[in-house]
Amino acid sequence: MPDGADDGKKSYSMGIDLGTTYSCVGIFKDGEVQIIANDQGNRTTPSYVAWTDKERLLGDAAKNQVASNPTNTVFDAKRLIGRTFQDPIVQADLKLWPFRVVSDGSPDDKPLIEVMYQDVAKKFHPEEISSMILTKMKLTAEAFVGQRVRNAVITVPAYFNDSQRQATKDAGEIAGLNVLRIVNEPTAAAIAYGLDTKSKEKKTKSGEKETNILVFDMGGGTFDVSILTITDTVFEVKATAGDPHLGGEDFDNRMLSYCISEFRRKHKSDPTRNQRAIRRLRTQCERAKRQLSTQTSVTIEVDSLHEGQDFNLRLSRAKFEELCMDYFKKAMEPVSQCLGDSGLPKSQISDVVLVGGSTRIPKVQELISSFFNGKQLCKEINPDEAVAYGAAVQAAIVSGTGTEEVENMLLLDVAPLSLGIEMAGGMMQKLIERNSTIPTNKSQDFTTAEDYQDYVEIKVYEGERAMVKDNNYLGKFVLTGIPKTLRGVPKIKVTFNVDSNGILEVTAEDMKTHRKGEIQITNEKGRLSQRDIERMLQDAEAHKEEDDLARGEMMARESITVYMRRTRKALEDIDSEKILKRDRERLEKKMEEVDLWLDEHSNKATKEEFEAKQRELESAMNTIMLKINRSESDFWEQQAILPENEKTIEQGGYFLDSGLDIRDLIEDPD
Amino acid sequence: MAAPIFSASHAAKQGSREVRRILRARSHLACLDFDEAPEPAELKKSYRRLSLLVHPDKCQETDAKAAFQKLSEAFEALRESASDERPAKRQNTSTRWWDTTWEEFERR
Repeated sequence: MPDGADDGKKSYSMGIDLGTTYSCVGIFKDGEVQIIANDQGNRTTPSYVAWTDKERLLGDAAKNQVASNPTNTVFDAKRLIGRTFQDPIVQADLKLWPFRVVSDGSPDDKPLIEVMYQDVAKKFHPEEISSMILTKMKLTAEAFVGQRVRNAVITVPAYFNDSQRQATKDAGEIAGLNVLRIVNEPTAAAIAYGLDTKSKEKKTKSGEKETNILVFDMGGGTFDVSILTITDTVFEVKATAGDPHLGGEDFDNRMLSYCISEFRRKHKSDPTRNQRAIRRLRTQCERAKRQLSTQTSVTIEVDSLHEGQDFNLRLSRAKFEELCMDYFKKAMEPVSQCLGDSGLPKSQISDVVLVGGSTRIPKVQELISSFFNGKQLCKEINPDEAVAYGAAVQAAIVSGTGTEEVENMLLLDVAPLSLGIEMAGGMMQKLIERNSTIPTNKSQDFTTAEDYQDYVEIKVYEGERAMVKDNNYLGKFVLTGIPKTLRGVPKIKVTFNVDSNGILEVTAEDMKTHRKGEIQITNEKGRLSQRDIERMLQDAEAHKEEDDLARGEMMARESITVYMRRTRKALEDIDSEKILKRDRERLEKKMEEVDLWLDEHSNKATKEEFEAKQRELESAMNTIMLKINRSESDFWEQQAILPENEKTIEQGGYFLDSGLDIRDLIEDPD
Repeated sequence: MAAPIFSASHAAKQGSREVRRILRARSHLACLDFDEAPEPAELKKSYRRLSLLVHPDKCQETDAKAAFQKLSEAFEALRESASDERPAKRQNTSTRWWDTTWEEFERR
């Protein structure tokens, strides 16, 4: 079977839901999908990266310090990825972000995120930020399975366009991942739903039962609708629609604007320029929004928000709905468009599956339900984890590392947008229709319009409008090196190929000479070049060393803390007859000293300093232990069973008490 | 035909046989392994059965992708001719614009 299944050791492939606000990782292990909790014990990880004076923080650690470090805490990379700086959506978002975004100044007009790190301004592409989050998810998975994990399926909103998909794939590569597949989020959620219902229904005998479902996926930043036909093993996407910029954060922003105007009205002062105040207020708005899904009113309170003034506001669910109503209504348009495209009447949809945190909002549920004439909605699957669950299943399918049941499954997805070229008069000629099953390809023969013409230029667009100017420009392909001859004689075959990731590739061949090499395709799409990606990969590797260093410190700190705790416990448990009072006092004094040292140095000591401190403590301890009856020595051996010839960190080896090999986390076997 | 579960090697052998058969097929119907137009339900069934065998995720043959694409196109075409299920979807494709020369194309 395909990659990785037969290289001796069982290799794992993970599924990553790379969200706008939160990310989630799952892995197919021991015949089922495990959603993996991060080092903080959370099953979803904030898609946040932050730079402090000393280190780079990822996930929860980054989000937790956002109020004190707003300009160097980056989030929402998914709202920037694959877009240009001048994109109206980027320009609108800019005003709400506390971090700086600038243009790279090139003709591609790529956005760059600027942060201050150790007094130097550093600029990052959105792909790099996403790669850091992917790295965090990868580490989470590796800590769980106890070995390196390279293969990954990454999800994107179904309505993501070509550049956004490509950029997401690039982010995976920068993170050093082998991206098996880019999968659409609602499709992944449908797999989770399909497996869930199947396990409950105990499989109908015929196995050919056909179910049509609609997946309504509204997360933190994006919104998708997909209609699928599910049979026993085949998941076929019929149609998909959505809005790549609509989600929970938009609702937060509405609440935020409302709170700011209320503050202005009450206190006659404007907190807009106070980044810290805005950040604190936004956090409270997000919390209030969540609470309003279960309560009918909440109080938003922030002490000393701006210029010493407290903020205090009672907000009802009705008011929240009024603030966001246009968004909620906007979300119904893709639903009816998707239904129309699928050719199915409402009555044929047997289940409406809700995915994404924002589908917890009662008004959203009410609107969908009434759209389907009061239909009961399916809330069986976990809206935060379903996408990662499905991605993990798809990872197992593609890499051949699942159970037989899983490996018999097949996903047939579609291209979300039509792809075409510009014709005379600025008309759009579609070559690949939206909702075509992927992988798909279409070819077109071109020739020259003038004698001795040695090149042709083709402009590629995606979108549904009749005129290319209303669609999204992907790039132009210039075919050069055509043998000079009379017009109409050359025959150049151009092939549009949409791969299983929904990403477009264009190839061209001169049919007269059959020489592909003669034809140069200039891809001017605003995506990263292979050189860019390689450079970023190196940067990321360099950062990894820094991170490993930080991780080394963390390990050493953890190790000494654990040692202290055990020593203390042992001192309590040891019979007072077996230890001299003087020895006990000496040890206690030593521990106190180390405690003080830790209080003072815990945040700045190096790995070596921690280790030196631990050795001091150990030698004091060992001298005393020698005097104590050997039978008591089992206090020092309470630990997980280790592989032969291996030692714990305390014993000078590499194993944590949990039995985890730290070399798996630090060293790269390659 | 209730999607039987074959052993991996059996499915692989059958897959490569179907890939070759589909690539040789001269009509949409033949692609989907029919001699005459089937009922819509039978058509879908056959499409799914064959997809499971020749889709590049399931079949290691180098030609699997081409075979699957041919299969999908044939299925789309037959489904549309069989019913008026999706009238809006493929209106444009009736003009075979790709048969024109570059010159004619620019004149349009």
